[in-house]
Amino acid sequence: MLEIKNLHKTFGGGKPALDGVSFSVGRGEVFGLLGHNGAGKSTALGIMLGMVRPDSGDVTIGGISVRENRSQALAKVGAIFESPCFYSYLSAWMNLKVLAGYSGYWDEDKAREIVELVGLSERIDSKVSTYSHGMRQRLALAQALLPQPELLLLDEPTDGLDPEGIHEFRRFIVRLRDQLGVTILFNSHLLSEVEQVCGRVAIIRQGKLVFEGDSKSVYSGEPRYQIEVDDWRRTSEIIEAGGGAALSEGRFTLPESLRICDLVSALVGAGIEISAVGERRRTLEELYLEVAEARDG
Amino acid sequence: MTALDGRMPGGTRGFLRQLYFELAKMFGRRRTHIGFGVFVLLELIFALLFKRERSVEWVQGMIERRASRAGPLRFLFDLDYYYSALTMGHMILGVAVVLLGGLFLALVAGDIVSKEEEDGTLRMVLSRPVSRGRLLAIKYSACGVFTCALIGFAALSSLVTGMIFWRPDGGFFITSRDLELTAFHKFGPGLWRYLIAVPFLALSMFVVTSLAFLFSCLRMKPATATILTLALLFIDIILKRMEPLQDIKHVFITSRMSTWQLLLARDIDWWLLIQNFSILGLICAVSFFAGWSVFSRRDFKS
Repeated sequence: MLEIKNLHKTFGGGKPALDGVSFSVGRGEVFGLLGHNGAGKSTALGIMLGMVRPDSGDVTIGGISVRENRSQALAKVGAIFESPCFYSYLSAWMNLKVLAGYSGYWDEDKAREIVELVGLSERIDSKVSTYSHGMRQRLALAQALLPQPELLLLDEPTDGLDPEGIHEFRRFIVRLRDQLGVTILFNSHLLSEVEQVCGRVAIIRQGKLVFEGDSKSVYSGEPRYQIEVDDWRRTSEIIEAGGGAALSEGRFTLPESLRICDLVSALVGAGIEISAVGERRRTLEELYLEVAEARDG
Repeated sequence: MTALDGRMPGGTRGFLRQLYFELAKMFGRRRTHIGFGVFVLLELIFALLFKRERSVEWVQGMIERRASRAGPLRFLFDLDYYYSALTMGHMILGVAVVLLGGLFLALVAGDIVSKEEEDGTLRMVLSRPVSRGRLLAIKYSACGVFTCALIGFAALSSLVTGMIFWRPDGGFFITSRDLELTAFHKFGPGLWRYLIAVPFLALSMFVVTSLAFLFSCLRMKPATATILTLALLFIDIILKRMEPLQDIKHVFITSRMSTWQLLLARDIDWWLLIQNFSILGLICAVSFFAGWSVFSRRDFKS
């Protein structure tokens, strides 16, 4: 459905924003594009939408090149940006009409259906200036769904939403995939967020693709733990004696042969006081470092 | 179901629908309407100022002086007849358009692209399957409609103001120092000339709109686009007024913009009119294509 081919982009002669990024997203897939702010995610999204011109490489949507035939390629694409902006002095309904007008498509019944779906029916005739951030985000979703998209590009869509809004948004994304078979590219800097909705992920760091694969495989390898004890020195000796590795204050890994409950028993037996212990998920930063270390050998 | 239901047609009909939405956006802003209101206010103020005794003497003296230059025919003139709604409406229109027309056109056209970029709505638009060329064509056309609407309104309201304060069925006296033009028309032909000249005034003012549009397409703040346009026009006016440049004053943009008044002359110099409007048209075309050329090469990151 979406194919990114060897994208290169440098702004104003500085460091490359994208350096040979390639990945593909299959039809009906929810794909996560991960990376810190400034990693190159938004540039990649800009190129997908034809808003940024790549120095080299191309993006095809449904087999149509965005560079060569942008209008046709984007005919069935919806997009949501971080902090979506609307014509605040117009009603939400008029905003939808204006934006749909650029797509060359407007179906009043369908639009009403979508407005109902995103839960804005009661306030659709109000000016957008009276909308909360969450309502604007829902309006953004409505405008993205208007062209009945086969591909949805979401750039940090949950940014600024309250926890309830984030939860609701995730459920909606899953529904879109399951019921309508929409292909979704989810752009985010939050590993935990992407993990909950995406089947596959790609990670961009400093304009380079450092990982592409199943979202579960992001967490492959030895499980990591975090422990709070009264004597870290003795604890680390016991961990290392069991074949594990004490990483830093309170953090360690265990070999597959050693279960966490066995370690806890050993520590209690040794008279070490444990106040908390649990599995610890890697942050995006740690993942970056691991990938970089692995690449450097 | 509304007329907009279903897949929108491409080509001209699709373009007109998109233009309609662009105008809805433009006229949805309070700022767009302010120009119309301020025009009426300014015209009323001018009318009251022109009603002062000294102003009346000045205008009547001017009519008298110009009439006396007409030689033996001066005895045919009824000076009171020419101190009329058409004469004063035209005078008020001239001052109002110079003072406000340029400002409001530069404001609205200066906003047309750069304000959308500043507000973040441009990325929402650019994520749609519409080409940048078509988008600019829609916006430029909307600017054209606004220019016609504003200038048409100003011309009409000046005339109505003139009719409220002066003799409504009087003749039409025109004088222009720049064009070395003086003309006297009876009411009927005068009104006709006035109405014919208005679209040409709008075309002249479209140069201001086009320049502001060009700057709006560049990477700059909306206010900068407006200020640059006005600065360019002021520089043009200052240069045109400089003594050493009097022999070439006709080449300046604002000189060419004032040639719409040739339509009010007794004998219209069509050749000069066509020549000047061709150059003004060229300036508009170059502004649009230069704006398009820059805009189409720009990157818009979300």
